[in-house]
Amino acid sequence: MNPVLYALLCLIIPAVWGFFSYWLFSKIDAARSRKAKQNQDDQSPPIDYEI
Amino acid sequence: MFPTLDVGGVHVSLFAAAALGAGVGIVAGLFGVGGGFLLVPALHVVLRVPLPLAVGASVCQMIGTAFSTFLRQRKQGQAEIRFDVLMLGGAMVGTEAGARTLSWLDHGLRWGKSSVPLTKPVLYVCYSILLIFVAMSLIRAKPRVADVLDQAHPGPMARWKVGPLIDLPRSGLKQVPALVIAYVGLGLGFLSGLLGIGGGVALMPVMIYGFGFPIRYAAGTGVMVLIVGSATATLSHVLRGNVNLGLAMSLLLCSSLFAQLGARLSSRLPPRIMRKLFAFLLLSTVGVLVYDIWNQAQHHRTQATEQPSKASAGK
Repeated sequence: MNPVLYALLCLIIPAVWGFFSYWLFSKIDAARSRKAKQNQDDQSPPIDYEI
Repeated sequence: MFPTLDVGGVHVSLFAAAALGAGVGIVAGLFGVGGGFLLVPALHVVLRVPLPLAVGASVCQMIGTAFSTFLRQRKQGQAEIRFDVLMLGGAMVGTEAGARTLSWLDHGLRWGKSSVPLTKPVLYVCYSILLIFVAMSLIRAKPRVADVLDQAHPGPMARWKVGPLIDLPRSGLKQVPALVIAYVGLGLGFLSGLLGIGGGVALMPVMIYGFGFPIRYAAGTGVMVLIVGSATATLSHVLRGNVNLGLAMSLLLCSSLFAQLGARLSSRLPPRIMRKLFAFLLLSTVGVLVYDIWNQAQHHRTQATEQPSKASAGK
């Protein structure tokens, strides 16, 4: 392979993976926090009150 | 069964490389480090990858880790940009110097007609010194300083008033010597080019105990240098034929995926235990390096004793 092209690939491919992994894990984190918030909202309020 | 990679004449199983990447990723996520300090010795000791190629693979995969870390840190905005910029120039020069030194060491020291390879002893000594230094600073750190510190307390390197001075407004440090920061970048780049490490393992103690950075800002600073340094180091090593992209990518893919698992585990352990565990891991790595050297010395001794006996049997 052309050495210049190989050098470019060595620089670009890991960077692209870095960007992709950042995007993927931010999506996963966002979905997880959304789910946690939804679970919190879904909890029914107490129905037995005592004064 | 599994495809193999030809790395400098050594056949490395892709599965073994991926497993190694996964292990390093878990450790990196668990302790919040890049894992380069662990990757190069592991590649050499476990998979028998020649050291210059192990360093090349480490710096190449580091580009991906650095890039995703940079994007994450940019969102949080806890970086001292001036410190990064001051380190950049020195880091680039240092990286090239480190890669050249590694290349020179690989050619060996000429002694008459034979040449003595220097890469392994020099790199092992550098690794051992670095790892012991970091482990000791972790063991000796007071819990208050290591876990709670959130304000700047100018350290000995920040108090050294030499050359042009600069304020670091985000971290709250004033009149810090710019020259010292540039030389820190040079040293960091040199370590990156020579040992294939990101330098976080060395930079963090320097920033926290040397300059007195608040931990919050120390964690975010240095990422820009990591990107530029790893890219420069990769270029330097590609030009010397030390980078195997397949090996680097298999390590990167698995380490970045398994780092998430490590990060999840880390939230379940108290910081004091984490610090001790990390110090133990660093010292264990030194132990593995010492064992490898001892093992090789034994091998050479056995060969040296076998050769004269074979020669006398031949007569």
